[in-house]
Amino acid sequence: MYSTSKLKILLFILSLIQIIFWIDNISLMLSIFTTQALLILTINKKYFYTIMLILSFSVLIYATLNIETSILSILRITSSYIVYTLIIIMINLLKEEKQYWIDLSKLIPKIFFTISTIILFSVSIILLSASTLSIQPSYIDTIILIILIAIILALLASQT
Amino acid sequence: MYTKQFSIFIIAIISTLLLAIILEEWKLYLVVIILISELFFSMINIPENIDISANIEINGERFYINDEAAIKVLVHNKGDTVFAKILLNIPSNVLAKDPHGLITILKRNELRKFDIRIKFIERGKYEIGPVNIIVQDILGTIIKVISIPIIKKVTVFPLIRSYGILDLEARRTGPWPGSIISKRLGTSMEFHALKDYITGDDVRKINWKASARFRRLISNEYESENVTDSIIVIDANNLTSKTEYEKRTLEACVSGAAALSYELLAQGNRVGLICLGGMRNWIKPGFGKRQLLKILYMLAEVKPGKELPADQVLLLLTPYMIKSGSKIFFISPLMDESIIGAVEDLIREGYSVTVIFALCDSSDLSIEILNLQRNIIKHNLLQISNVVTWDCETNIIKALMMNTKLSRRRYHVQH
Repeated sequence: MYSTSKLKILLFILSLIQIIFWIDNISLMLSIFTTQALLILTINKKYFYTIMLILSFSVLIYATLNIETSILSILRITSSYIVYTLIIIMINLLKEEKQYWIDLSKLIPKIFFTISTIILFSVSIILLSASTLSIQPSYIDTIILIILIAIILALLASQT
Repeated sequence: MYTKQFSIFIIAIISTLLLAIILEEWKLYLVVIILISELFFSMINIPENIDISANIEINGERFYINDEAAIKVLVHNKGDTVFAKILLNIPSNVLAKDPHGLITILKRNELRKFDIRIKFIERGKYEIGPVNIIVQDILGTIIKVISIPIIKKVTVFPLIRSYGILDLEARRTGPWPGSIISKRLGTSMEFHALKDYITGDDVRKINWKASARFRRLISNEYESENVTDSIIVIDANNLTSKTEYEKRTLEACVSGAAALSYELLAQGNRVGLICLGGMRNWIKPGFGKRQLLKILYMLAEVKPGKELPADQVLLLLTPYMIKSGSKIFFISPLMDESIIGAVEDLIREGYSVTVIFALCDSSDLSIEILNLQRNIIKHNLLQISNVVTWDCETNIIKALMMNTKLSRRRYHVQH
């Protein structure tokens, strides 16, 4: 109940799953795997999660820039997104680990609910954008897209 | 209140957006969407109606050094469900055996409790609390801090290391029965004189050998055992809390004073206390457990420093507290020269003064030099009063008993 080890194991498993989706790009897969393995072996709490966060964000950007309308591409974005969000949550939880008991039995459902909500929302928008804007858009198109997203967010915010 | 994470999110969003415009890479806008949606979903998780109350329960108000206290923190959420970090403020000089906070989800009307064990490693008065509740989103971008002003006060007493019965000699004794032999007639085992047997005397007191010699009935007279008034002076003048040696010396003095007052009170004597140093205070002599508690409360607050010289304070206080002829124990590390004048004045006033020189071991050269100065003060004191050198690692009562035995042996050799 009061241990973050479960969350750490979960992060490790998800990181491994994330790597598997890069099977067609062996060099990238190996580089991510080596970095993660090195980080885990030379674990230093202060910097470990920050480096992991930068790494996962880079992977997320790379996956988004190489977006395709294929299952593998969706899985790549989703998995890298999950790992990235989980690391942010873990930084928030673990930065004061020694001071706090962490009630994981209550927190894990909340974490999963938050991650799934964010992912469902943003991945669906990404896929929608990717399928509709498969050609390079003009500045006006992008501005219109951003305004649209802002309106959607504002509407959602007013609803809640 | 926005946190550092929130600023990082905003910077990441703006920089990615600028990069997308400069590079004319539309796919980077998707990353912006990811960041914005994350921030948005995180922000909408902060509830409006926050109503949380808390309470602290501690298994006592009085502890001794090295005691463990069990603290129970009870939190009741009467508002909306929140993701909260509950943190109990504990003093920095207390050893927390467990984490003193809890990260959890508090549902509406949920009553949550968690236990904390702390160990007191220093004497003093402590305040446990308040309870701080940080309500935040799961990513930690926005926080609301609620401080519940509940504070429990706890006193930590110095350690009392009892050794055995202290064999005291006093010039002045009180009328109540005790353990100090007085010059009055009484019922103790100490022989006082012979007298003619008169009707009504206890037959067991007849001295048969003396009766045979004088050819009339002679009975023994015994001295009475009474209590005495005593004052313990704890001298923290010229001490600081900067070095480990000085801290150790002060703690030894305080602990010694606690043991001595316990022993004297256990024998039925009236005991008072005068504290010199950063916290100048005093207690008039009194009997019993309540007096011991008063003394321990005061000892918990003894601080190093120097406000007034010892001679000025003692000359003013002692005649008001006890009568001439009573016993004064001066526990001091002899850091302050004004002690010589103070002891001189007390002896002149007719008090029986015993200086207990608290000496802690140290191989430090600076301490050895300091010890030379302290030994000069000790030498000057030896000219006027009884000085007991007490190794702080040993028991103060044992040191006093050894000194009493030695002085009695010296007395027998001289006479």
